[in-house]
Amino acid sequence: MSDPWIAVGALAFVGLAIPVSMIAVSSLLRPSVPEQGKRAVYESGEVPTGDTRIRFNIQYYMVALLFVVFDIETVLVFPWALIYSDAVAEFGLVRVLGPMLVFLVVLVIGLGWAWRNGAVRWIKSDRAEIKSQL
Amino acid sequence: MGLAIQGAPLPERIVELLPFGSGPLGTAIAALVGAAIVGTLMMTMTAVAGPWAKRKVTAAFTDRYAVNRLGPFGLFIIVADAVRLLSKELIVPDGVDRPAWDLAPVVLAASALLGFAVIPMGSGIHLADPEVGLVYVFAIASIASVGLVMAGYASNNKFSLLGGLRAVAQNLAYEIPLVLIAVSVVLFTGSLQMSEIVAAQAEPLVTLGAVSIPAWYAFVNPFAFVLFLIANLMEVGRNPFDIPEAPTEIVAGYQTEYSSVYFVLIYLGEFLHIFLGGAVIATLFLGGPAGPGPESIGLVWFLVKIWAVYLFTQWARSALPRLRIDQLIEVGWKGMLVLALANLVLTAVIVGVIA
Repeated sequence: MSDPWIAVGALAFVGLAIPVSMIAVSSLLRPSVPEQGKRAVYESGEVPTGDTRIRFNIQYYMVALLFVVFDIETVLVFPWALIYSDAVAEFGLVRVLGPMLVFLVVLVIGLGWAWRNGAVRWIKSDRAEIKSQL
Repeated sequence: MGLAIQGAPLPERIVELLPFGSGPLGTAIAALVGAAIVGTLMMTMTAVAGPWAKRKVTAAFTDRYAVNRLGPFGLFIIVADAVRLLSKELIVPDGVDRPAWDLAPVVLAASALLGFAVIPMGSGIHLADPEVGLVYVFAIASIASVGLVMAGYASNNKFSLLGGLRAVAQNLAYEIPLVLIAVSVVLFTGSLQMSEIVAAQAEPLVTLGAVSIPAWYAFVNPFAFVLFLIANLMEVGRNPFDIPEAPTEIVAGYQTEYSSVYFVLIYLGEFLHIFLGGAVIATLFLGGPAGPGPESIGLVWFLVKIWAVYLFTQWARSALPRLRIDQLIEVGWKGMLVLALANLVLTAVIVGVIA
């Protein structure tokens, strides 16, 4: 049995070679006429105004924190699921499923808390509150 | 050991066919040849799906003909479109972040292709079979998000920035349900290895006279199957979840400023991603390459299954309206996540009671 990661590495090489060769072929075929108007960023045909490097509301990114919590949960769930059947056969259902249920319930309570606080919402503002009540 | 050789990964069988022996050189060459075969196969599928099948399917839904001039059924449009798109001028907009802007299309296309390394495609086309196959697929599929953020942020375009931010929000919302549903399959198989997951579905579930229904997890756990189909639509960003692109709201989202070969690469990555999603669905829920007939035509059944998932995404694309971004967040975090957790606990109880 050879190491499967050699083949994965080979596909990574092929996966990079295909786009790079396409870029190379295209650079031989395509014209290049860099006029000024062409290079303006697209803003529905208007003259672009202002910068894109703006500040934006970080409120939604509470969700990113929540995501990290649940992502770590999945990391913990995977090994548990792997040995689940064997473990149930050896130690019984309650001792295998019980602790994981407690763990999941703690997480769901956390999700409920975030839900109530409006963290899992795209925007949180007075205007949005009024709109959603209408 | 005849069966073991049948199931051996592709490179090991190529080693025997090539005259380079099984040393480091022979192994490397065989791995590259195997990777080239898998890469070519998936590139062919994407070439058929992108310029041709997508148009034909959409046209069928809107009662039109679409491409029918070049070759049989207009199939040669694939060649014409490839030449046309590659020979377009590459317009570099003012103020883009050059390395990131150039790398994003490559990241998108390469990461989507890399996922196919562990997919058992039948007929012996199975490039690698590491023990962590399933986790590997999800890890690789997530790299695409990095590409989307790079494209969105580096383009110096407000529509692109919005598209990139939406892509992040969408990925955060679907990723956990997607993985949790896959875990509920792992509860049955007790293995993350793709070949083991496929082998576990080979047993007959019920036998009704001459017809025996295999224990595909789509039949064993249809609830998880439906949830996974929806989560997969979110992952590949097709209607009703094509919010990061949303042509009627933010032009084309993260790909607004891309033209020429970069545009092709982004589209290539998207279609490869749809097929990767189909391949994961086929492997987890539809028995992989299993089907009637001899084992050697497994590749045909595998392709039928991934094309079925592709047609499903195109059907959804033509038939369903798009959700708003705030609705998507609600669906992801308040709907899908809760249902995925419920599915996980239910499956654990059922498996535990049976075991």
